[in-house]
Amino acid sequence: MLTYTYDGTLEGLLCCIFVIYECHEVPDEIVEESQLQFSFDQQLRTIETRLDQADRVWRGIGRRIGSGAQLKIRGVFLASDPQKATKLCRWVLKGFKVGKRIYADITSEVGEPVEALYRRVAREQNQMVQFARFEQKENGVWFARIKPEHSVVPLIMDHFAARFNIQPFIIYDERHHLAGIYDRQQWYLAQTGELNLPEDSAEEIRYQELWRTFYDAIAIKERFNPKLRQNLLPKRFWGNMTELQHI
Amino acid sequence: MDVNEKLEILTDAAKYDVACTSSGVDRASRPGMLGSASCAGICHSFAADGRCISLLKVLMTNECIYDCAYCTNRASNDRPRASFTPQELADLTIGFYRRNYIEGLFLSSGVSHSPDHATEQMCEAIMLLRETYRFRGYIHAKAIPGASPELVERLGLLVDRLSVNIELPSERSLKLLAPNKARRAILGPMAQIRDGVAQTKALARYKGAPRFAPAGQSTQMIVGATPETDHQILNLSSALYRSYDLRRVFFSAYIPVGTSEFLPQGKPAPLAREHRLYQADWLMRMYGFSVDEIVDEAHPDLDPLIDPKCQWALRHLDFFPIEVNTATLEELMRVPGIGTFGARKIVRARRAARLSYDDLKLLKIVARRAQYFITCGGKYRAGLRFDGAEIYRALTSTLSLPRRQRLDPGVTQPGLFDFDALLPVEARKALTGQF
Ligand code: SF4
Repeated sequence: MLTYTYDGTLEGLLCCIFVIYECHEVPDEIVEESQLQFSFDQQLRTIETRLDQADRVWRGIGRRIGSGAQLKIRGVFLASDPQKATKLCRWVLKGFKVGKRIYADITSEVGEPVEALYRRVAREQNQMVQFARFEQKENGVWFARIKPEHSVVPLIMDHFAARFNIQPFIIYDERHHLAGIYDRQQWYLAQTGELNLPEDSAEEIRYQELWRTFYDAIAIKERFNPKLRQNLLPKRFWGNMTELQHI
Repeated sequence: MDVNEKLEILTDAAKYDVACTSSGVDRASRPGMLGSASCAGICHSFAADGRCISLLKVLMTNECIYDCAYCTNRASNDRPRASFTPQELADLTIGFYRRNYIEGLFLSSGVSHSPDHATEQMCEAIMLLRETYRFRGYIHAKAIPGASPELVERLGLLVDRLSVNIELPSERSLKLLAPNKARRAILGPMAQIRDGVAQTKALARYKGAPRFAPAGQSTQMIVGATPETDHQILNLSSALYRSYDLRRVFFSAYIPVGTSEFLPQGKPAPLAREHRLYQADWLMRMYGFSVDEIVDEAHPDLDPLIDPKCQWALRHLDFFPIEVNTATLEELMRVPGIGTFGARKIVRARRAARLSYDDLKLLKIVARRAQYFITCGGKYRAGLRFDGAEIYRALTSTLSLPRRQRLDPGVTQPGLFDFDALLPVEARKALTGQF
């Protein structure tokens, strides 16, 4: 069994594809170095990340399949699935063969897993746009803490940076330790485990209380339906939502 | 009274209004201005009753000089009363919006002093938002029957959606229960809004022309408070769509808040009925069904046990079974269990390969219902018989349905939420009963 290991970046994965073409071999799986588990029948090959190679593959994908494929790969790569690299690699190889027709392939053993991951990431991207909650800090910065399954911060920054362009903000993904930072000019990402947060502003506490008042008052008691609520708004989001934290 | 107390009273007074969608208009953000609007709508939370929360839904005031029997704010009802000042309301909206609690504001009002006075207060609050705070989020306002056309015009130029409640499904019921509201007073502003919206569209070519309620108008009626059949209700709503160019007609299953002898007392009207009406409404708007295909004089009410599309299919068995590999998109959409979304997926996937039953499963088509109405590669699913009575029995048998789908009208709640504001996929699923 042939296993490629890569550094866990998208560029690294693209280099795996580069090597596949260069060496005319197809690995059985592609695994992130840090997650590698040894087994006896394994033949290992460590793929080095080189930006020039990654770039060539990336442009190749754009040319031979299309920019839609690049978008899809970007999204799927944010999924937290240890097999995402293997799945994406197969998908790209097939895409190089069949071109745009790969878009319609959502049922084959190559197409379906990628489509499924893509949908899960897209779904969570939506959920974060819906459910992220910002708090105003003393220094005037707005802060949102989220805990998504997949690392979707890069996918939601455009939305918030446009909508809240008058306020500097940070969205912090506490699962992947990734912060999206918007400084009223542009946004960027920072990987960090440490956060030094200022206190909440005086207004903040008042607005949180008002919001809870609204939330409790808007429900119709005669129609109480906690199960339906939970289906639509899974419990795993509640911890970071002002109105649900205390339920 | 502090703002928190007011908010509690004025939310409580507004909560029976069903519409809470933020959909219908796309407005990109602009540097230096707060907010944007997205056409599909975004919902930000779900309340304990399972309804989506997309907008800050409150009344300007719950003081009311009218006495509509079905309304909790009627003059004769002994309730705590409160009013926001325009400034308080604008601050609340902005404070909530910046925290990503809401998409915007849904503002309605009781008739304090006079319809004009109430409308002026609303205008003032919304002016503050739009002009002082330069707010680009979504605003939906309710026009108050009896307000002067000039004020309705002013309001319409400030908001995304303006609507008037038709309240009850027939003029007779309206006379009985809302003696202060003539049908004319409701249809008048409705027509005015329709014309305003149409004018805006015609002018939209000129940059900077003021836009009148670009997300159009919707309306709402209470069902289950008065004796109208589903047939009457759907006929009315389809007439409203046609003559007033409405975006949505909302139905609200009556919750007993009134004491009038003409109103049912005790238990709330079953949500199952409201749910079926939404499904029927969806079929009419999205699938091109006509009212008479769904209900008619002979079957004036929707069957609570199966969804309206199944009901139609069972009455038109000659149309089925259809072959999924060759049927047109329109034909696929008429199959129970296959929604618009599912039909598109099928059409897309079959370009790559001929589809089998297993592929349908991969595409997440709910074969449970669809299987009775389709063939796949020329084969009807083994073990099934193509027979109307048999299919009806199979579809209504609680054992063949997953638990969430079992419908015991009046007992289980199939879900009261705002379909427009859900994720599109889910909205479609919910409305075709595929959830
Ligand atoms: S006018 Fe409106 S608020 Fe007043 S009683 Fe009638 S429905 Fe209620």
